[in-house]
Amino acid sequence: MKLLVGVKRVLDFNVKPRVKADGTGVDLANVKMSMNPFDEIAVEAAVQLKEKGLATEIVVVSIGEAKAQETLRAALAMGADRAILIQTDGVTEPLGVAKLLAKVAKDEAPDLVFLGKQAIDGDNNQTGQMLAALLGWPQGTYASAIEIIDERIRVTREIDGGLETVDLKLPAVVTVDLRLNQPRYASLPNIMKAKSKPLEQKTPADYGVDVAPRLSILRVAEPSTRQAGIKVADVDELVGKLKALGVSK
Amino acid sequence: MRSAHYDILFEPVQIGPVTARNRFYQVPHCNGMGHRAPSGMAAMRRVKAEGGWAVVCTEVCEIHPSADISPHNEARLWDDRDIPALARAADAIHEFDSLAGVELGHHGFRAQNRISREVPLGPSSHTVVSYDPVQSRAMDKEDIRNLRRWHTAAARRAKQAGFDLIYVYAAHGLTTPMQFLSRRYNQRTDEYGGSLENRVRLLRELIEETKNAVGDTCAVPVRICVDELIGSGGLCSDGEGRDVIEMLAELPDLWDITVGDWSNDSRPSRFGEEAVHEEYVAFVKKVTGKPVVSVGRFTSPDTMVSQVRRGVLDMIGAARPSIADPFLPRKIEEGRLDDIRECIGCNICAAADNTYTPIRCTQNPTMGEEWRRNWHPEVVPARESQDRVLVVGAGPAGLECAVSLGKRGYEVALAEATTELGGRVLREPLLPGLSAWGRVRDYRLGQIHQLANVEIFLDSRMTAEDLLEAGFDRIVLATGSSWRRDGVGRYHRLPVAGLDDGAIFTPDDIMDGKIPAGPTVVFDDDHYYMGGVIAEKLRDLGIEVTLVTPAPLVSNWSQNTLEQPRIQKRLLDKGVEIRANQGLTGFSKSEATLACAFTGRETVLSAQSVVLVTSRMSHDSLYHELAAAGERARDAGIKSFSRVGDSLAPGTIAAAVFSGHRYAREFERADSDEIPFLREISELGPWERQRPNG
Repeated sequence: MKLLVGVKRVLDFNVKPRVKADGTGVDLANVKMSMNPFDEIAVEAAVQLKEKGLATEIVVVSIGEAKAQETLRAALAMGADRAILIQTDGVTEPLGVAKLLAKVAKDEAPDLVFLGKQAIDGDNNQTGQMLAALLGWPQGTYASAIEIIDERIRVTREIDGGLETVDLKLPAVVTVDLRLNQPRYASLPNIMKAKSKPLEQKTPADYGVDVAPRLSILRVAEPSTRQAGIKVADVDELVGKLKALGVSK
Repeated sequence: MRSAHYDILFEPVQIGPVTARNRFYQVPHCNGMGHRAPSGMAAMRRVKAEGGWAVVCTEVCEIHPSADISPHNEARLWDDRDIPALARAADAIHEFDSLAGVELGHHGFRAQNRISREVPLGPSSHTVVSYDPVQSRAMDKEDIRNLRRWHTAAARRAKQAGFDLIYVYAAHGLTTPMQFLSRRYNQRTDEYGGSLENRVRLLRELIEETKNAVGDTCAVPVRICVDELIGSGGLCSDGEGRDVIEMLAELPDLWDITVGDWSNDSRPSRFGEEAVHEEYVAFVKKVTGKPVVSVGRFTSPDTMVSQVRRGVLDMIGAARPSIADPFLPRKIEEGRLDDIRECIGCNICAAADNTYTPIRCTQNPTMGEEWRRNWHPEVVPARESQDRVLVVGAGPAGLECAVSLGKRGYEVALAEATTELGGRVLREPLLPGLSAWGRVRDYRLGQIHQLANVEIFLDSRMTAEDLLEAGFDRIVLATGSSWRRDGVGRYHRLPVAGLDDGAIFTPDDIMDGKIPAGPTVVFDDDHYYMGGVIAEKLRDLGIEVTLVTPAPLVSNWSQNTLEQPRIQKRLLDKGVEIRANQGLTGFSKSEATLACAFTGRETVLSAQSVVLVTSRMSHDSLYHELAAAGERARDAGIKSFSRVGDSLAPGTIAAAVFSGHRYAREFERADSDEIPFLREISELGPWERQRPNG
């Protein structure tokens, strides 16, 4: 099997995000970036299939600025074989990314595409679903367990009501959730070894895809600070305050 | 931007004729520098003022050679020639609009007078508290008048030096007015002894006379012990301790309340939580309208707010939290709570004074180095080159090195062999009583995650070949150390023959979760905390433990951290058997052989296992391999490779943090024979003297 994995370079989850003074977005200047945690799980899933002998090649792809090369190198250090960077500066949106991944999938003809269920910066949870629709492929999202059986994949999905298992014909798109696996670390010695693995650099124009944003962000603000509560002495005072606040009559 | 919740901490407080701009009060604390290193002391106080403490006090200030507490290095105002040194401190504190306080003190019969050779004075004749073969004499009326005159003279000198708060000090059992208060030490039958009113007389006179002398422009706080924690034989917060406050209620300009002796006031985190003194201190604000300050190893801004809101304290007193983070008030003011370096309560700072050396701090490697090395706790110089640095090992030394290099703007890679950062400050805080020490890791992790130029690599054990190929300009080896299995320490300088390997454990084994079976001997030849902590851990697991040590006391060096008696008591209370003054000379076939440290006479103890806590060996093989690689290292572009922390030489966590920090500041410097820190050299005294005839 050939596997295609999408990874995104996002704000490191340990960093405290700050909103830009003009309210147009999160300040990303000089902040620590790393691979989207769900994408680490996706890469790990692919590498585990390869280690089991079920896959022969893992291609990892990222759409983003030049520094996303570091994210791709981390994926190569984890065990991917080949990387593609589709370089574009500025904000990327799920539809644009899905269109590019669809083109890559047509070129590479993988049996499975693994994506993180969402990126922790946008929290959109759309790319995998859009990709499957563009390709006309089946999708298994929020995967907490996967099993390859012949030419099919059984995906256990974490949904609101519990767990749902779907059986998909390959090729398919799978988006991964937290409990699928515990990703290995991209160790420094492995990153050094991965320098010899191929990393191709392309642009969206090479694929004929327009990734200009369709959405405009009106405003980004921090959550409002919590106000102090008030202590009341007894039930009568509580009722009085609730009435004064207009919460009760 | 600070949260409105903390506004209360930044309200001004009136203290007699002066006003503190906020409620952060750095109480008097020793620092091992004192009159011996006055610029060092002044610069350290300045950084406290800069960090936002509205009141910054000196350590105790000796007022007269009749109470000379050498070799402790405290402040001194014996005569006018001592004024410039203190003035330097007062001026430094004023640079940042803080109030300068000086804690005048006369140590009565607690002073051995080793330098002055005066006979110590006290309310009655007693031996000094140390084991010096010295006794005090009972003060007569003239001595008491002299003391009052010396105190007034010192107060005037303090005012001349520029101090805003001039203390009367009656606490910790250390000073004459407190000795007069005590029925144990004061057996007088004149008007200074007997009833409480009589025993308070000297204290009252000192307060009144100090106020008369300097009270027009200076505040006169009183530092007093309200509970000696020895039951009815001493002052109690529900007995005479309270009565004294009620008697003198509005006389001082501020009450600085302490509990017990120094080992309690500075209670180590192993033996007490934050705000531990509240139950003894809470009554004071009920009986006086004057502002009240006290300590409790306060590091949490929320706890501080609670103390003020609930009417326990008017000002948040701190010594250790101000040492770990001089900028604690500023960080609260600026809404940077995550940048606060919390005190871990290890008392390495107290150990400095007790070993007569400049203060140091596990969390704050710049403490004590403000003047002599020009180190600032919040500012490191910008990088001098584009060198890329690889730090190998993320224990305290590696973490501190990576963080400090990162703050300088260097590109840093931190490679850690395991899957978690912290090394010994991840492992040791899991031992009994040491959880607060995890703050060494917590703080540095918080900082490192915000540094985009410091990249962390876990699961990254590096070989020498990896280092040669990694492409970095500088390599820092912070690979730590391991506890020895061969018994080598102070008692044995060579490996011990006849140790039954199968049943030998080290603290590393215990921290790895390998627990010995059956009755266990813990051989402590390390003499700091580890032996006692291991004994405690094993005892808590239900194992019979005998702690054997060549020293007379368990955890002998912890006398310096003010912990020793509590450690020994805790172990005895838990049923650990203690064999002091004994060396372990062999262990095989379930028999441990002990030898008396004095006579060599052997005894045999049956035991199933032995934990050796003797000394450690550095992990420095990578360093030696790089050194052996010679030209290859140079050809690989490596400009230098160095060891820091335990991998250079095993020591305290404080030493490891210092080592990592020092590398980050100094690695660009060329080697030289120049002394790397400033020293103050004493001025030579007069030489030509009149000789008598004949």
